[in-house]
Amino acid sequence: MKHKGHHAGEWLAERIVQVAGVLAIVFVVLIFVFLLREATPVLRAYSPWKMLTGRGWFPTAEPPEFGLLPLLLGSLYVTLGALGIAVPLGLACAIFIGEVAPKRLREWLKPAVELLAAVPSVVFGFVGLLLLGPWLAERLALPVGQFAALGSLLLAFMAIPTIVSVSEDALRAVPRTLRENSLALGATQWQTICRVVFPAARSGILAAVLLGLGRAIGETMTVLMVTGNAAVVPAGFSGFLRPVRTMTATIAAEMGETAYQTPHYHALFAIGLVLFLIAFAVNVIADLATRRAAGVGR
Amino acid sequence: MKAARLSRARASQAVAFALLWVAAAIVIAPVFGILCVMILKGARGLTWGLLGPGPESLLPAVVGTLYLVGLTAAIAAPVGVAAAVYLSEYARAGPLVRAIRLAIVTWRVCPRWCTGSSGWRCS
Repeated sequence: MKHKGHHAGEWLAERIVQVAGVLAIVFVVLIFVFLLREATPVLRAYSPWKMLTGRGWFPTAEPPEFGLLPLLLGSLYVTLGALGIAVPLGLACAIFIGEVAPKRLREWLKPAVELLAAVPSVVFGFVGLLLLGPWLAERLALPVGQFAALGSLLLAFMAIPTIVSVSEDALRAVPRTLRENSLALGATQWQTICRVVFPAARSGILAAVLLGLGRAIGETMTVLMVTGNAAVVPAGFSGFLRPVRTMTATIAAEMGETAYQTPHYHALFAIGLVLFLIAFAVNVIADLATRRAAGVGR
Repeated sequence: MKAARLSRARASQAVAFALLWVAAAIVIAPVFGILCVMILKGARGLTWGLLGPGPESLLPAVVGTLYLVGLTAAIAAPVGVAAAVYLSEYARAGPLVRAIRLAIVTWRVCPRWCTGSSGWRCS
């Protein structure tokens, strides 16, 4: 700005990179519009409320039923289960890397966790389907080796790298003086972590959890492979040990089978719309949390 | 009294740190677990025939993947790097930058299917 007219090239360069940034917004909006357009016919024909609370997903029956409840709850079970595993482990690992681990180990541990993020989801699904599932089913005396908790377990390990890296950043952003003050007052290192560092970083940690949630709820391949895909409404704690079907898996499994522009086709887009809105809501909350973190931390 | 409290604090720290070590080990275990499983189960199938012309050849899939990834990088890298340059060098904090960042994270965790379906439908 100071060098106005200095270089037309500079101005042009700024515009070009700005357009690239704005393109991100354009694409996301386009995806949303596209989902909305393709879902509209089924939302007109069946009331959205009825779809969300319908207990039966029988898209090829006569007449078809498009109840999303089993799929919503299926996603909820798998995702919450994943968070139940990933949040404690991920946070513990972040604290370990950020505060406790010897320096050598830390330098070795961080890339190893990032390596976990690089494992393709289909490999996770493969290991779960062929090894972990049957093994667990035998140990726990389950009828089938494909169930909600198995999906949770695998998703947890896919969400952990996100949770670890984001919350470790949040821990590192806590000013050093806070730690030193606490230690100087005679607190042990663990007391300092629990009562000073962790609370100071909590907004960033919330953001880490929400980003992990976003990662888990959108995952398709792994859950399609390991959760059994039975579209029943899960109930109670035992729902974790039964096959469930998630929204993402439904779309992936049925998209290729359905005829273009049929109610079934539009219903799949309605599921996509629901997923998009959930992902968006989670991110808005995460964004608000990080902003608060930035405001409080400085 | 004071000494007792201090030793209790030290004891709880020892337990907590031990648990943190365990947690880190659990997180890291699958990295090696998956690697070992892949090697143990897959090593036998790894032959030169996979890259040859025979019926068991993986060559079409390998080359297909390379094409796909190469073209993806060719499209994504310029736009992605340009957007990153904008965000870090030019942009001032404001609604636009916030919206761009929000769009980027939404896009990242947006179910892959959202993007995939657009292409599938338009083809």
